[in-house]
Formats: sequence, structure tokens, C-alpha cells
Amino acid sequence: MAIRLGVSLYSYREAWYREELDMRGCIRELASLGATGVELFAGYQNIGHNHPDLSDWEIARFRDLLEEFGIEPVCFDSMFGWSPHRGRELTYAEARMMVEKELKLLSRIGFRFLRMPYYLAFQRPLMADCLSMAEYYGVTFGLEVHAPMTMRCDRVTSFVELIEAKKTRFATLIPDLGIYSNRLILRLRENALREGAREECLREIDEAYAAKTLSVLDEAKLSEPEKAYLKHARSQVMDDPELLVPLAPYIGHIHAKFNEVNAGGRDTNIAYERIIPVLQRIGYDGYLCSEYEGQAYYQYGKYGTYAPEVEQVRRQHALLRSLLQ
Amino acid sequence: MTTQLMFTEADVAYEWREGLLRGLAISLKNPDGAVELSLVEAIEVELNGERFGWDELSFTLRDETYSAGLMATLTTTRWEYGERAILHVPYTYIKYGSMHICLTLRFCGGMRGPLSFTKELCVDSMRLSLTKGN
Repeated sequence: MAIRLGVSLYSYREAWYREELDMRGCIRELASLGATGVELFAGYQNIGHNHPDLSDWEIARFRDLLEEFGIEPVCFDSMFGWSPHRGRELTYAEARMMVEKELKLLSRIGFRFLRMPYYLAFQRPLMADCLSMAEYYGVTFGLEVHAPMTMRCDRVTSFVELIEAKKTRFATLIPDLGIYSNRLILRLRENALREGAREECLREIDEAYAAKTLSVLDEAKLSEPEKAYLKHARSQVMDDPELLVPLAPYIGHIHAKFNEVNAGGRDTNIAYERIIPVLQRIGYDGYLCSEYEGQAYYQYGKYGTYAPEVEQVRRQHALLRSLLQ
Repeated sequence: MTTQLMFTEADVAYEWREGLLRGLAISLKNPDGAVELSLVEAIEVELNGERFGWDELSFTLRDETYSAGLMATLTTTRWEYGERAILHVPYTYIKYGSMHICLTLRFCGGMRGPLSFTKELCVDSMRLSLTKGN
């Protein structure tokens, strides 16, 4: 089976906020792209009130909507796990119950993957306990490999060891392709220039990022916008796509992160032209779910413009389809 | 962006009941991820320099109205991202000219931890009383 395309509705979170897209509008847009899968990001576009305690009616309404447009539920990005109680954390039993409720819900809807909240991924006893629940409900736990993590970081290694130790099919890695940022975010650079950063300093940071020598830059000589750009550079990762090869058996789902696809159809930040051939070579046949995150650079730029989310996702799908041919 | 659109001029109205002015209602959108009502630490409003603390306000979500004290105990009712709630402010004056509104919303937990959002806005007082009264 070939690589399939989907969209994380996180991509449309500002259009949702501005009430330009509701759930039906989002799903219709996905179908118009030719996408066949949807990913939901908890806390932004929930299916009903008080997730995961949804009514039968709310679940049925969502399933009917997906069926109407030929879209399948792929992955649910859980963010829950914080304590709703002021002044204390969740107890082990409360956390376990929250995970079980979420697994049960996703099973009823038909989601295949649960992108774990990080609190769960690194609490080994709870994680191990939850894996047996995942098997029971038939939902696979996914650890998102998001910058500044890389495919060779300790957390990934440790998670793979857990999968091997448990001999489970219900745990997987979810690489966020933002870990292959071969250039810093262009719009952030433009914002820094508008705020008074010097071109030569930004160029020096760009060059140090490309050479992986950011740690030796002299921060003291930088102005505030330049320091902010350097901080951004230090949060980015330029991992080697070839590192996907040995981890291929553990990759069940992928977040196709992007910040900008320009009018010429090129991603200005992430090296998709290097990633897709590797995914094809390893025989990856899961979803690439678009995850647009460029909104932040409009928002924080404070120039009063909204990110063109719908257009950006359309451009990324055109780019991905051209690379997948 | 979400803080800028937390409420706009069109979301502010006088509240009338039985012919009497009861206060100001602000239709307020949650500017961040879904959050339990217990984690809404405070909402404070300043109207033309007059401050209203959290204990003086009430909050309506999905037709249920809560006081600040009650909200602190509601650990299972979530205010969704972008969902509108009505904030009731006991401000019972109608004055000519513009009204300066400064609203601060504070969360003490949730998806991204403690956060605070502030929005300031000037609205035309007479427009509110003329268009929203009943």
C-alpha cells in the first residue's frame, strides 16, 4: 500500500477560532484535497463537550460526518493529563482512568493511534500499565518525536526498548517531520528584521545552524530580536532522514509538520525532498498528516494578518503529491 | 490572534431584565486550549477605570451560570477552545461617549500551564444601549 495523506485539524485552529470553519467545514475541506484521513488535536477541535466523556449522539454524529466525506479517523493527539484540581497533581489511579477513558472513546470512534501526552510517555510504570489497555481497546500508543528530540535521542531509544521488552504491536513512534528543518523559519527571520535585527547577525546564525555550530556563537553581542532568532534556531533540529531506516519497523504514523510552502510550491523550512524518498524506500505505508504551524509567526509578528491556513495546507498537499509520484 | 479576538465590540452588550439595567454582558471566547472551569483562576474587568474583581462577576457557559467560587470546584466541566461564554459585569451606568474595557483572563493550569490573556477595547456606550436593549 502506498503512503496516504491526511490532515491534522490543528492546521485549521485559527480558522476554527474565527468561526470560519467548523467540524463539517474542516472535513469537507479535507475531502476536497483528496485526503482520506483526519487527525484531531485534543483541546482545540474536540468532537463534543467534555472529552473524553462524550455522548453516544456526539460520537455517532462525528462518525456519520466522516463517512459522508469518505474520511477515516487516524490519530488523536492527546494533550490531557494535567490535573483539574488546584494545588495537586493527578494520582496514578486518576491518570490511568483518564487514559482508559480516552482509549475507550477512540476505540468507539475508530481512531487507530493515540499520540500520547508526554507526561505519560516518560512515566514508565504508568506507560507499561497502559500498554495492556491499549491492546484491549485496539488503539496504538504513539510517542511523538518532536524537536528538539531526534530519532537517535535517548527517549526514542528507551521507547523502542520498551516496545521490544513488551513485544507489543500497540506502541509506535510518530516522527514529527519538523525534526528535518534544514533551514530556519523564513517568516520568523522577516519578523526579526522588521524588529531591528541586523542582516549580518541573522546570516551568521543561519550559517551556524547549517554548520551545527550554534553553541559557539557569542550571544552577548546580539540585540533582543537577534537573541530571539538565536533562541528559535536552538529549538530547531536538522536530523538525518537516513536515521528513519533502522527505525522503520517502529514507525506507524507521521506528522507532516510545516511552517510555510511558498507560492512556488517549495517548503521554505523542511527538507521534504529528502524525506519522502527515504519513506518510500523503507516501505512506509501509513499516513502523512499535514500539521501546519505557521500561524504562530503571523501571530507573534503582530502585523495584524492571519495565516492563510487553508491555502497553506492545499499547497503542502500539492507538494507532497508531486514528491510521492 | 486569539487574544485579539477574545471579544470584540460586537460582543459587548447591556443586559436588561424586567425593564431594568442589570449590567454589562461580554461574550468571551476561550483563547487557549480547552480548560476545566476549576482552572479559570480569575477574570478581572476594568470599565472606564472602575475595577470589578472575579468575585463580583458571574460566568455563563452552555446556559449554566456560575460564580467564581463555584467554578473553582468544577473539575469536569470544560470550556472548549474558541467556545463562547458570557461574562456578566454588574456595571449599571449608561454614559455618553466611549467606554474603555480592559479584561484579563487567567488560567492556573491546563494544556500550557498558568497563562494570562489581556485585551483592551474602546466601545461606544450609546451604541450598546441602543442596539442591545430589550
